[in-house]
Amino acid sequence: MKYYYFKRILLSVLIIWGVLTLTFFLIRVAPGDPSLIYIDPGIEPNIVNQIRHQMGLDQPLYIQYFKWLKQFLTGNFGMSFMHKRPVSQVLAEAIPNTLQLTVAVFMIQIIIGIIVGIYSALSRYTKKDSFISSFSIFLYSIPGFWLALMLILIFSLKLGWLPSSHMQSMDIGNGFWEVFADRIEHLILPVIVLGLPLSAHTSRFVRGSFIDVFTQDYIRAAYAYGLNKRKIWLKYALKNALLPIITLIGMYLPFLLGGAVITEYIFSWPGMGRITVEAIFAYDYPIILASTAIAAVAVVIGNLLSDILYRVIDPRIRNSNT
Amino acid sequence: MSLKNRLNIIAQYTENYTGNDLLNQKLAITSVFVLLVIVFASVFSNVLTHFSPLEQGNLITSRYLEPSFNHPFGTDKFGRDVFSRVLHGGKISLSIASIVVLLSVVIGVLYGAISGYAGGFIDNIMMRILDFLLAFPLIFLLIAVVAIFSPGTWFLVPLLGLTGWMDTARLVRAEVLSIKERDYILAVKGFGLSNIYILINHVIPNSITPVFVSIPLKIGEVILLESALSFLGIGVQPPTPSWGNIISDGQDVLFQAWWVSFFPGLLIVITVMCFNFISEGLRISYSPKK
Amino acid sequence: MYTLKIENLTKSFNGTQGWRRKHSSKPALNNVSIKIRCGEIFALIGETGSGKSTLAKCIPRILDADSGKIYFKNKEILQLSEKEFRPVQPKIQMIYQNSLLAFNPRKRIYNALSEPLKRIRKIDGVDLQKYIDELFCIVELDHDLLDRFPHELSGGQLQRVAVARALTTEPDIIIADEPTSSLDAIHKNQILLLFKKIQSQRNLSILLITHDLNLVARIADRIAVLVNGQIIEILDRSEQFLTVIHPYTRNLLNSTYLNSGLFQLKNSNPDFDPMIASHISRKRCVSAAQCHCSTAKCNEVIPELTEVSESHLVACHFPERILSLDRKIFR
Repeated sequence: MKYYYFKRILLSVLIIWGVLTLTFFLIRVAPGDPSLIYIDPGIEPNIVNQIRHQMGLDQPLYIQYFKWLKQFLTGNFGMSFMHKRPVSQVLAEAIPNTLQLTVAVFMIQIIIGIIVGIYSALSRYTKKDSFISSFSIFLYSIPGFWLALMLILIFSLKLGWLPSSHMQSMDIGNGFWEVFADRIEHLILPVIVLGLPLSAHTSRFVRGSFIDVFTQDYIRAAYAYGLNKRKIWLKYALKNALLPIITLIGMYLPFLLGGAVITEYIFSWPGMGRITVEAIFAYDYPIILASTAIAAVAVVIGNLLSDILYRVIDPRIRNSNT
Repeated sequence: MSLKNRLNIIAQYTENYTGNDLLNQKLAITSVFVLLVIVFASVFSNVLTHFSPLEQGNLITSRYLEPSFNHPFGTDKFGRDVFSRVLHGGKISLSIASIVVLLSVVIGVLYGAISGYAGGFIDNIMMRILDFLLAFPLIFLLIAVVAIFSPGTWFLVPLLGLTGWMDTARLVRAEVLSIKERDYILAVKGFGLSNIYILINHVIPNSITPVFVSIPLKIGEVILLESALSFLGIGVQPPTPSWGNIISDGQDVLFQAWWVSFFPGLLIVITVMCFNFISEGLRISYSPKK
Repeated sequence: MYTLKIENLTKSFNGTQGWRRKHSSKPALNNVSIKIRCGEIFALIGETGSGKSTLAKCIPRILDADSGKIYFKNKEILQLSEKEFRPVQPKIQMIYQNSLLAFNPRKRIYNALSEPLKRIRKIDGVDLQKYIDELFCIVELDHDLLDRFPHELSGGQLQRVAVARALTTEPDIIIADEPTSSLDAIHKNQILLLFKKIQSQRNLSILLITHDLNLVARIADRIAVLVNGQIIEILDRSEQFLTVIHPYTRNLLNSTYLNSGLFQLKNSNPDFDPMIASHISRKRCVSAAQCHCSTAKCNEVIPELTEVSESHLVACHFPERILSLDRKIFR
């Protein structure tokens, strides 16, 4: 069993290494002088050469690779063209903003997902359940960016109820509650956009998990023993059905950092996603590469976490020698 | 066949399903029809619309016209007829999605079948590679690659295709592993027939049923992905219309000319929904009945 | 003379823990040796888990044996490479226990039969149709069934199609792995008669693997008893049924209730308890605990197959003692 964990972690480390290496080679293969990655294209040629030498760009490839790798792993991502600041600084500012959004989404969609999931599990085979599952499919099918635009159209532009962009308005005071309320106002639309499809997904997951548990023989056996219905519910069903949801945490981890990219862009939310999209338009390579690598690492860690949690939770898998 | 006969057959067919499933099947069949309409409209988009999607109208009089009889979806910034653009965009988006899914399914089936059938060392290696690739967040690299290299529209197709075959391979491999030990495979082997023959004629045909369920699902996914990329400007390049980039065109004038962004998005929702319902329908009809 | 000669075949299934291989101390087949003559029906009986199916799969090399030799028509086949073995494969045919699983559910019966004919024997066109019709006559099936799919036929019919399919390549030996286990009594009978028929018509050897002793009583020419991966006795039909030596075999035959006719044993002890063999350690004779002439040696050393007469072999250290003791006790 321990051997499996070791293997998995090793694999994940390998993958992260692979991602980093691939991004390095993307730099090399990108059209144009690789040194332009690090240098603003507007500088004079001999200064460019100086900088190239400084950055060790005239050294053999493998030396550059290891230097770059070391740099990257220690958090030095180079300088951003657009912002004229170290990339790590830019990202350090942006990430907390993203987290505010994504954590809020995560919590809300889990709650909604669980409630809807339980409700539809209890009423399976009825029209209500059919309706809910069809509605879920409808929610999956909506492109997030379009939903965002439509919501902005209706609630911001036409009705003026909610702000359409940024994290906070310009004209509020410094009082805690004012800022808080304002933040919430700004959060509502993006959270709806991101949360709807996610809660649809979660609710299906929960529903499936509950149905699995219900139809297990041990629940029926408990009924047969004459146990109090409520007690059965709380003690057995709930516990066993909710457990797999913990594995969802691992699955949603990558989302926390990178899932809101387009939404942030549309709502001008100053988070990592928006920075990335702007960087894409401005050909700001250091940022593109850094955020891609970070997001990739988040995905890998998320998968790993989810896998490990799943095995810890389900003793059936744990005991079989996979 | 008379209408009555047809209705009888449908009634018989739907009788086999329980309530929940019945709704799904009805939705699935409706979806097929709706989808046919959409596909038909986009394939024959040239004939159906008398405005070319690329032809710009008079920049003064015909930009941002509201939806009307002449222009059911209105016009855009350049005076182009949005309805026509949406239909043509549909053609592009649907064909990209179909080809991508076709590519990834073919690669996936072959990879999974070979890996599962070969077993042993080869299977082990192939699966390790697959795990590696699966855990690899290819979408992000995809975005990075596309952003840096700005490839044309059709470069997108192999790129997307190469990122989507892995789950099919897993699916197929699982089926192949269970089929491999069945007696009829052993029997055919016992005749001394070559492994390749067995793979193509016996193993693969019997192991691709789950793939059918996932195909419409994947098409829907690719449509969403492609439209997102096109929206950002790194997918289908203008002036070629795609549902994604039409929406992007309408972004700046959301308040004034909502129709530019609204209609393509609506089409996306309807189309992807149809594919999803069809996939559900397939899944139910393939699953063991009570 | 001998279609199939198996010598010292051993096969273990190794467990794996992580990546370390755990060598099994209980081999599925342990030094198995059998000789099957041309045109005889050779029955292999044993309880579940004794290794019968493993042996069945080792012969056409579906499984790879660990050691030992198999001579098919005097040619050693385990050493051959895959390519060299291919032309030999069609001559060793198998019939499987579950007839429904033995056919590709998507292909019609006609295809199942025509495939080997077209591919291996290159018969096609008019000849093909004729040959298939002939086969169907031999197995006594209605020609209408050719167009159907496997799931539309009954188990008994499918087994007959299986026999027909096995005959397509004109094999020299057919290995039938529990061919009638899933059939009702009437169909069991029919399959048996069919086996008898093709045996006499084509002079085919049949290796009949089963746990059903009644079957064996009806058509087997020779019987081998397999216990815990070892052969403990090989008998001929003609007379040694009456002089079964190994206590395990005696128990086995006693449990069939066929106490009339051929299976009437002069020397059976009604007090013998049947014991499930797999619980017994493999380091000694299986019946060491029950045998009334067991010695210390019987408890420590696995007995080898020794010849009591030309066609009767038994794995016992002291077969003559058993026979003589029998005469004394059961006069």
